[in-house]
Amino acid sequence: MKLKKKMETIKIYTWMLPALLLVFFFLIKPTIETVYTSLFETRKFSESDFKNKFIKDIETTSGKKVTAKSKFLTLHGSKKLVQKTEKTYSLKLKKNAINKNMSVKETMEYFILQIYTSRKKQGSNKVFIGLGNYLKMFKDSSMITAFKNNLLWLIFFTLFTTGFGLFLAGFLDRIKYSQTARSIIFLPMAISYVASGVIWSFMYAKDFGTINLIISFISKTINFIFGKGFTTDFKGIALLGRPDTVNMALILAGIWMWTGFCMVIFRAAIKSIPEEIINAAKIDGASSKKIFFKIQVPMILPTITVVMTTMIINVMKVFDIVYTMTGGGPFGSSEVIANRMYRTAFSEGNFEYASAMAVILLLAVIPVVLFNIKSFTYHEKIRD
Amino acid sequence: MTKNLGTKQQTLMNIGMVIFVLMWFIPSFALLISSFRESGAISSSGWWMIFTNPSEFTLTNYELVLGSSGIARAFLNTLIIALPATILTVILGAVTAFPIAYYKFPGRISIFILFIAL
Repeated sequence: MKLKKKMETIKIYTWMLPALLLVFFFLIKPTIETVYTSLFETRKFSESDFKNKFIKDIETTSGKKVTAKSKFLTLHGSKKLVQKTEKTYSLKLKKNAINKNMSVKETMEYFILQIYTSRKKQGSNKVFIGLGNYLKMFKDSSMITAFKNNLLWLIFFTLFTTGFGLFLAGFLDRIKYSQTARSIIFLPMAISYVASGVIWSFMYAKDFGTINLIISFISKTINFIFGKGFTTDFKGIALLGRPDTVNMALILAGIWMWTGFCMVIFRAAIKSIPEEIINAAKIDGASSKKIFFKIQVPMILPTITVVMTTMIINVMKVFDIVYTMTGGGPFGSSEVIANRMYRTAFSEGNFEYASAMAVILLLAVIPVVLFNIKSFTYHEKIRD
Repeated sequence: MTKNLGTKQQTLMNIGMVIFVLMWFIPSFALLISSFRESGAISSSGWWMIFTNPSEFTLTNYELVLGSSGIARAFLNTLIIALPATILTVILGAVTAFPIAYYKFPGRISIFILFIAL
């Protein structure tokens, strides 16, 4: 009997083996590796940088112009510099390794040799720095902007996509040609991110952008109604070129892309509400507004939370829109974490710091995922 | 559904919806129109200029895309990636979902969470 049960468990796990292997090798292992990488730092060593810094240091402490031939130990502050260099490169020099007869040039060369040999002994130039990369992030001004912008995205994007989606799902059925209207709203989902980026950069262009056309049209109308000079003539603004408008412009493009998705899911949920409930409400004389807010919205609340969490997870990872439209500019004012991470890893080549950013991004998503899991398992338990 | 809305409210709703849908349609429409304009015109004036200046209309962009040698390969690559990705996902998903749905075994919920959460 026991053996039979064991056999069954084995059988069950064999069914799931391929998927489990896939998840392990492509999700769990890389995650662990990323966390591991984020705890290190690559120490680059360039001889010329070292020499420049060394000479500068000794010149400031001694207050004299130092030439390559000056005797090193006669200079003021030389002992301290030796100690400092030993510490930064974790060297262990022999006693009296640097003697009185050595010139500045010879001392530097001696140090460089020592640094190279110690590097060789360690085998790599990766240094364990613990949480150093994480601490660095909170001092990095471009990272702070990225955090702020991500928060901005999180609030506005989630609110407007779910809000518009809900509103459209509830009320779009009541107009003529609602099928066509729905297709139009859903259309941006079918356009790739890069193409959307191109479209919206044209929309936001200063001289020939549609948005500027609309604004100038409105300002002209106001001038027409209230007499000339009521508002100043609108000359067009480069919406993507100004730090104060660029984020909202990007978020609008994001909302344009994702509202259709929310609408479709909400509509499916609303359609699955039993007809009897709606009819009963109608007989009781409820207005359509009341039906929407008091019956339909409360009944699809689980769907709303799922869509909202999906949107939050979506927006945390936002990359394509920013990358194709501004690349984080102007002056890094539209940076988001994912874009910062991409650039740190693949333009600057600092994989350790980028890994730390990735881990932060993961940690930020985890509460949302946990919330999702909670509602999922709740439904699972109900089903059992 | 339309019965319990007043006519005035109904009109307002219609107008609001039409404006909303138009707003959503303009970017895609602009893309479509831009694809028929000369490349010089696209980056110097708005897409609506084609209505006042029909001489800008051209099919060269499409000729260029369909005539370029890379496009066939790109479409092929898309197919090569999209087809197996779809089929394998469905097969793998079904195979994994089967035991989770039909059997009770130790670690069922945790494995379910593992797949859902990631």
